[in-house]
Amino acid sequence: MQEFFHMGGYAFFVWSSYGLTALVLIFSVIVASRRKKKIFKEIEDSFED
Amino acid sequence: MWSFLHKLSSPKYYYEWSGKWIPWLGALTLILMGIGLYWGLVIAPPDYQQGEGYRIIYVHVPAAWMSMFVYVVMAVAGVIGLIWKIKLAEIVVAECASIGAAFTALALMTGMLWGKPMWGTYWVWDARLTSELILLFLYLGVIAIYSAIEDPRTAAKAAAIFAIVGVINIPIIHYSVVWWNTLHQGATVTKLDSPSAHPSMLIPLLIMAFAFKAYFVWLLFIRARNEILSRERSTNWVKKLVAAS
Repeated sequence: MQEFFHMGGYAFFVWSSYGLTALVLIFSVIVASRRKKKIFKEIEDSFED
Repeated sequence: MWSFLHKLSSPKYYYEWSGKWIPWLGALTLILMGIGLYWGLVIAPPDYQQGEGYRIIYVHVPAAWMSMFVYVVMAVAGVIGLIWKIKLAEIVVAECASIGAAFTALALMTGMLWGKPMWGTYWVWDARLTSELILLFLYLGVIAIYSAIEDPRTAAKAAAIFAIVGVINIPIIHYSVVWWNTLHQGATVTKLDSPSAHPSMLIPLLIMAFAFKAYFVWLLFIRARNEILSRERSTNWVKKLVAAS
């Protein structure tokens, strides 16, 4: 297991690459689904005016 | 086919149709990512030259392929938007610009993280790296046009023309490793007759490539849906939809 995380000495480069990729891909989906809720809320609020 | 595309150009129809697909695309993305990551990180053998370090390939190459694929999708949507004035096509251009910029940034960053241990440097101004950096600027250019021009339809027109002209960069990126002397290695997969990667490494790479493609379609559908909702907020169907929720 430790060997797996060590990546033959390339741990920093391999895991930074995967970490950055995961971060960007997950973050983009979260931002997009939050935007949907925000738009729904804005439209709902406009009903009360 | 044409009648389906015609229906799809109606915002309301797209909203309903994409809503059915989004959960399946999300599931497909997660399954392919799961298999691809396990295969690429655990099952695939180490490289005979680069050891375990080569495993960056399973995120770097799919991101780089997507950076070009999304650009072509964006330019095609730009052409459709210019000719037929379809609102959905204009939205696709804008959403592709953001998603494509993210893939390009990822390709560049993972490439730097791969270059440091293998070439001894994070960056060189060679043809492949420079043309990929130009691709990032092209995406940022499209985004800038959208934020600079207030009227969305005028912005869409300008952005589409800009995107279409920029397509010239795509073959330059692809052939950069052939036309110029470069540190970047040549094509391993797209040499159709005889890919030089072994199947034990090639299969997980292709799975990851499909995972990235599924992810792109998934995110594009979600984002285009949001944009339609936002632009059509004063229409009756959107009001009904929100009232019913």
